[in-house]
Amino acid sequence: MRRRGCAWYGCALVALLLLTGCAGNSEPRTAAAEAWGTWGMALDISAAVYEQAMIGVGMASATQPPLITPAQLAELRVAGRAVQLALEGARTALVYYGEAMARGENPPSPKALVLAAHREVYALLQLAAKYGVEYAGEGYTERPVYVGGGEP
Amino acid sequence: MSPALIAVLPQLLNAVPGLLNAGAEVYLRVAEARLKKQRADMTWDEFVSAVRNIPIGDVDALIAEGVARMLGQDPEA
Repeated sequence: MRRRGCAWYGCALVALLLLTGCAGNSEPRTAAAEAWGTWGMALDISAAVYEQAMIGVGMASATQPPLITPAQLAELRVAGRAVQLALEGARTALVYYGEAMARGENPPSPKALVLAAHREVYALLQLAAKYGVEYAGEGYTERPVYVGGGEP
Repeated sequence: MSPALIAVLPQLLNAVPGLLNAGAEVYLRVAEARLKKQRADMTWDEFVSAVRNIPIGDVDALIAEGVARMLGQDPEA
């Protein structure tokens, strides 16, 4: 994960996020669109970041000499597994939430589980940064968001 | 500003201090791309489908993909 310069770059992107988000969200939205734009998107982003972080861990373990020790790899793997399980739990909760809303019920918000997955991702990123793992960002490709059924 | 954006942005902004040492630029780049793809007319059935299609890779498979990438191998091979 590149540390140098990311503070300013991150601030610039937050500003860009504000501008593009405001422009793109001026039209009326369904309740499902609101839920996707909040919790679905938050989960999707976290999953993408988790995947790239773990690919970066694998790359760090395969350098010659290895960038991380076997003990550090094991620690990062455990942290990654915690993220995976948290993300899967949040995804299941969101599916149940959407199905209940489709039936006209009033289910409890999936907020807690999605935010719990966020916290696990943050912990993984901080641990990876602590061990100097480079983010696999060079190989990052934007994944499409599939809507309306069917397999990607 | 939409209620969804108001809900999402505080999360992202609160995350920034912790992420600045851990690749915030990539996180925010993904977020910005996702925000552009929000659909205003989504139904609950579409919501469920979209959530089900969020890919969450197995941790060991992702580590192996990183190793293969570093060694110049095809992880699918």
